[in-house]
Amino acid sequence: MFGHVFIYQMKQLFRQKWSIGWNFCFPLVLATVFFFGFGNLIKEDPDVFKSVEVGYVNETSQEDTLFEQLLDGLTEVDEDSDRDNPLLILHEMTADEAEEKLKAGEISGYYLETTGADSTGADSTEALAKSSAKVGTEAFTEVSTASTETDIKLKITENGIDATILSQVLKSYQNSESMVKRVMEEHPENIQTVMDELTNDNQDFISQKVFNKNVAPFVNYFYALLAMASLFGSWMCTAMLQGMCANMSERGKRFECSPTNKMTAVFAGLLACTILQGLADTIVILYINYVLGIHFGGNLLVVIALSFLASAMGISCGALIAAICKSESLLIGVPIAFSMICSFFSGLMVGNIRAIVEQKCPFFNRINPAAVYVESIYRFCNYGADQKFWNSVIIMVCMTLGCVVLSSLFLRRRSYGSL
Amino acid sequence: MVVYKALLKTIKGKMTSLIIYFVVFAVFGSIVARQNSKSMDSMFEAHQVVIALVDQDDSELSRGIAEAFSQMDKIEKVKASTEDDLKKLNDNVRFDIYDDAILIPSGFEANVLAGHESGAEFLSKGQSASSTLMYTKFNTFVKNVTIYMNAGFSETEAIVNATDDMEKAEPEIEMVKANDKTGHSLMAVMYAFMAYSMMMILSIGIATIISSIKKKDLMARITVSPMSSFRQNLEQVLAITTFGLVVLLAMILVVCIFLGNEADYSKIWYYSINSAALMVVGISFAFFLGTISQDEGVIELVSNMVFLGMSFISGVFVTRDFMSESVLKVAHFLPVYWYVSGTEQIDTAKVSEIWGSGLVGSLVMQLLFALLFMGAGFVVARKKERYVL
Repeated sequence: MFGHVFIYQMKQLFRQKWSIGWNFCFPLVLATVFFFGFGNLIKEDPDVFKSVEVGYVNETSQEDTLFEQLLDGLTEVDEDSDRDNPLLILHEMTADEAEEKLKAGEISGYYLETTGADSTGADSTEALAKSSAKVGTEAFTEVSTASTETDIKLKITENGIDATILSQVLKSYQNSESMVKRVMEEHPENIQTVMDELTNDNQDFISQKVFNKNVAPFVNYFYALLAMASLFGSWMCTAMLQGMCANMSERGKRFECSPTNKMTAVFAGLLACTILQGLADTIVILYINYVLGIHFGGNLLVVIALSFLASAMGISCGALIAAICKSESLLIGVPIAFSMICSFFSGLMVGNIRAIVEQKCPFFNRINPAAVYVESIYRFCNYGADQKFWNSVIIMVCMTLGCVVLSSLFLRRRSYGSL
Repeated sequence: MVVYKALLKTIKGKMTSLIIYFVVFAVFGSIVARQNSKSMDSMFEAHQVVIALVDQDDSELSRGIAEAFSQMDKIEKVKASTEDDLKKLNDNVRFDIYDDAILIPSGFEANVLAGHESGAEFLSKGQSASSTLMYTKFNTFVKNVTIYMNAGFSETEAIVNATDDMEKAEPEIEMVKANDKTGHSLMAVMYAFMAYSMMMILSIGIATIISSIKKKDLMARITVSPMSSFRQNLEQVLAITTFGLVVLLAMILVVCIFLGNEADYSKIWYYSINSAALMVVGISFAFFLGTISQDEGVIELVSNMVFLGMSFISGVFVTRDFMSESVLKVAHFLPVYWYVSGTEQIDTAKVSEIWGSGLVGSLVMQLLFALLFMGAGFVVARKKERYVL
């Protein structure tokens, strides 16, 4: 009897157009539009630092100022550094050219170095450095005062990280100037050491820690999409149970009259729903991986296995909803609201919402089936099968079993005097 | 006005769905507008980075680093001792809770002073711009401290001096007005976001009206009624137009309420004209859809698929700056693309130059799409009538 009901439920579910539309086609369409929207961001991470295009205008009497040397140093990548790109791409130009390129958006900003009003010509820290080894302390102070007369102005069009980086470069230069002045005043005998160390760029005091797999954060939208697709199974399940409950439909009345064991039939139906939903999810996973070319970062078979478990969880949640809700409108509205709210909090619309919830109210992430599923797939694809991955799997299994047991309690021992 | 009233009443059955799409626009539209909008600043303001700091060293130098960073950025001290804690921190960086995280291990100060590898690490989203900024600041500060110490200052003096230098550095920065302002004002982003919800509401609402008229039983009753078909059609058109205008006005009202005093209202009429053109597209698409199917589930499913797709590809949800050229080329064949282009053209042009900014072209393209859908709807309706006869 189990097999008989199972096969007929499968046939029936396959013939429901809305089921094919929402459970099979809609996730595929959504994955496609996500791909067109975010695909570019996954393949070419927009957060990756791109060297800042900057102009430099030298209006001083010197050809190669210390600031220009500093800028030149920042256009090279240190071999020992973690960085792939230099900080700056420098373009030396006239003031008019720089203004034009800045306004056209070809450069993020430009430095304008001019001779200060009271400068005597020996107006740079470079001069200070050259004379540092030869002259006495009084001369140091004199040269240092003159060096502050070199004006460096940064011109930008908009605030943002590029502008802040350019400002930071200028700040670093000003820091060095302050340092040289201070050392000259308090420890002039060590000025040469300071100058040597200032020009030594090969000092990295911090390096990047990289975890083994860093899948692009935008892939999280696809994980949330899979969670949504799995929870759509709850609609399928409520529709199936509607056909098995005498108080819901004509078919339900006929079913309740039949001599079939009710729980066996319900479990056969649940299995049929789970397999169908799992198949739908598998198609979506394969589509995302092979057609759209977005890789999850982990073993695809495990991802598919997780999607079957998530489908079972969605179906069992649907069974519980169907067992509790008695009106037809609730049976449509509650599963939709349930799947969409859970999906929202797993990151379907706002990518980092799950992380925000994890900060503010981690318990909610443990009871939200979509978030638990996304957590499991995220952990597996980024960190492998660690403890938290297994915790998520266990929560999914418990949720599935819990919902099935509860819905069985609600559905059992229903008898009618007449139908 | 019996037909007019009856048709508007049929929309009541779909009120829950329509309200959901309306709320989606009101809530998410204002959030997205605030997130994605860019204002033209007249003064330089440094980009503040949110950094999680794990200080296991708790030394004078590590506290100095925290102090120096807190002058420029937002520092949050967190504890992370296990691998799981680090993974959690990594997740928080990946999902923008923090821009970056700095991990200062115990022995850091001793290593720096001895000239060994410091052991300090940072977590970031790949090689992001914020991490580059943080990396530059960190290296500058620690390097300055070591230079001061090598120059004969004590550790405390070196840290105080380096912090003082950072604090006192005030670069002269001048803001220059660019030739082309990118179209990301609050109003432009909110109006662009309107596209999805408005098209969905119009599509579901009007397709429901049209499909209800096409139902066999109702159609038979309408046919035998004494009211002239001209009158019936006129009232149908009036009902649809009324619904469209109510939706449009409600959406504009939401924009005004949610943006309040933050937005510049000098161009609101132009944005509204652009939205009115999209309203016509929505009505004609709904007419087309209503003639194809009378199943409300199918109408909602197809509308969702079509408009969600259009919105993603045309730059409603994801700004066009991030999208590939090829996707944008395909998007030229979609009406929502021209609607978003319209909002950008209005946003970037001066009020007196809006009509010459290409807006007319965008409006014409939208109306052409409306004509196309309307024409297709009439063809399908005619074919279906012939088939029935």
